[in-house]
Amino acid sequence: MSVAKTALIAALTGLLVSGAALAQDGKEPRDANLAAEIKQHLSHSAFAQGIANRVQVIDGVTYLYGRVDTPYEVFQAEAIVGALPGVTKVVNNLEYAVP
Amino acid sequence: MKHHRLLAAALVAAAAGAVRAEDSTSINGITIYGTVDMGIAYDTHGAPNSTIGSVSSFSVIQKQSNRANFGVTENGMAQSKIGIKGAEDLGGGWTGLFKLEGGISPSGGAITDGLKSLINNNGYTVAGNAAHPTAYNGFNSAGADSFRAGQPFNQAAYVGVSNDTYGTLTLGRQTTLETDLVGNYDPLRNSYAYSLIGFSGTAAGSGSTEDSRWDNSIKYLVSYGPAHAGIMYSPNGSIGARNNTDLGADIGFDEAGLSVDFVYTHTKDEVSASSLSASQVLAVQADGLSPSNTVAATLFDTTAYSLGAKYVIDDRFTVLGGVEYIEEKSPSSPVPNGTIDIGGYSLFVTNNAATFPGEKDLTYVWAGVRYQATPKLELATGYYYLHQNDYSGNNAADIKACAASKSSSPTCAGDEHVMSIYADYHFTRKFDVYAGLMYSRVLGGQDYGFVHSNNIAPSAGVRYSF
Repeated sequence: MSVAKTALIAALTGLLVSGAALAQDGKEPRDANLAAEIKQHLSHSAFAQGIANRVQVIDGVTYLYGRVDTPYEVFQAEAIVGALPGVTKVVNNLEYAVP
Repeated sequence: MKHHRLLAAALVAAAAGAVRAEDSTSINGITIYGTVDMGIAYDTHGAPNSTIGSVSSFSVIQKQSNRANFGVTENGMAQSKIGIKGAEDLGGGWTGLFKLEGGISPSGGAITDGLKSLINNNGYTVAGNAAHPTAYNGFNSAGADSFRAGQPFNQAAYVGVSNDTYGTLTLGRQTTLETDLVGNYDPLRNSYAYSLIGFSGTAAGSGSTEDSRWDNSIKYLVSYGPAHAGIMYSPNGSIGARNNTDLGADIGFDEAGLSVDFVYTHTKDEVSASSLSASQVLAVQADGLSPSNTVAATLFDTTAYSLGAKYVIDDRFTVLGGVEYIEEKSPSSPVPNGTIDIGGYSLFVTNNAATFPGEKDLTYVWAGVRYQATPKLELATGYYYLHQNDYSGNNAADIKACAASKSSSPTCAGDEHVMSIYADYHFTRKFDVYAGLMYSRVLGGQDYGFVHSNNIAPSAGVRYSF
């Protein structure tokens, strides 16, 4: 087994452990409610197919993850989410690229 | 080709109607979207531009790169495309969805067809070819393999359902989980002009660009808290008679601006296509096949592991990187000449039962930074590294050749280095201009058969997306 393969398997193990720990890390109910509202708002939009389930809110700051289809949609997603009540700031982590 | 034109006309008409109906590209749950990207580029060592392939100019050094080249080019920052997608509220938290998306080549107005760009070079000899005694098409242009092979919806064609709790299940032709990872963690946004893993689909396709999308595939994605996971499967026989069973899995998380994903992929009978040599043109004709519809092929099975990560710092800096390790072995199910590939093209299998003397391993490593200098200006830089092992195996001739000269055989160990930088300015959300520079260099086995070993490629362009 090569060094690269061993390193990747070790990284996967760390990823699983840290992911499980994060999943158990309870968030403020208000943040959870806002995240649910944003997901609901986006879930029926074709425009946001790739991001509806990957929204996170921490102290009112909304993080967008995943991929949309064009640079225009990156801007649009931020504008739409930023205009929703309760959202104090949007950290736009969206990608539009695909090989 | 008639149905291609009809479909394109229908899409354009639908887009125009949607825009007139409201100042948006969405109406009644249906969205028309797309990108058109054109520019200019110079290569110190390149080849004449193609008007039909995904990569119209060779921004990364290639075997065919035998001259300085300047010209109008396309898709420098992003593949031009047009698509239509929809989402329908089914009630109870469920949504029905679909997507149809095709890559286009605006420089020639064609549906992008990488295999056709290879066929245009059938019979061509890299090192000059003044006489062309046996050439079929035989001219030198930027031909490159691609999963876009003239299909009207070569990038995506799927339908499915989604639920906030239970996840998303889709069926059809769709991006692999590895392609998703490469797209999400590339500092230079998979741009053909600035990114090695955008220009070449080998990383996204877990060994072959044609496997960046899987036909007849089932894909399931689900999220739980900050964690997400996915699994994807394409059954035996999804392309013609090939035993190309594919399986992929993804696990990752997003937390406070940090994203990490790990992807595993195993594929059978992957195809890496190339132009026919002059002697292969004759062999194809002797075999009763047409050189105007046939490409040379190397088949192999692959197993790939990849890890990507990125982190947004203070809203302005995003640090991104990844590593991918690919094992390629001789195909478990050899196929005969004339086997049909994507797009309906025929394969002339130059390597089949014993593709590689030993196991071929590729390791990609990449890292970079994006900086949002102003709300409209993005700057990015990155470095890409590819290492190939010595896969001479027990082949004494190859071992001896590699010992004598490191680039004397494709089986010799080799490396590729790519460094890039770009600036992208958005006048509006829909319209941007960009400029940048890429440097690429190949060494050892990666340099086998090349006329030149490096390329410096400045370029600039404009893009409209909607």
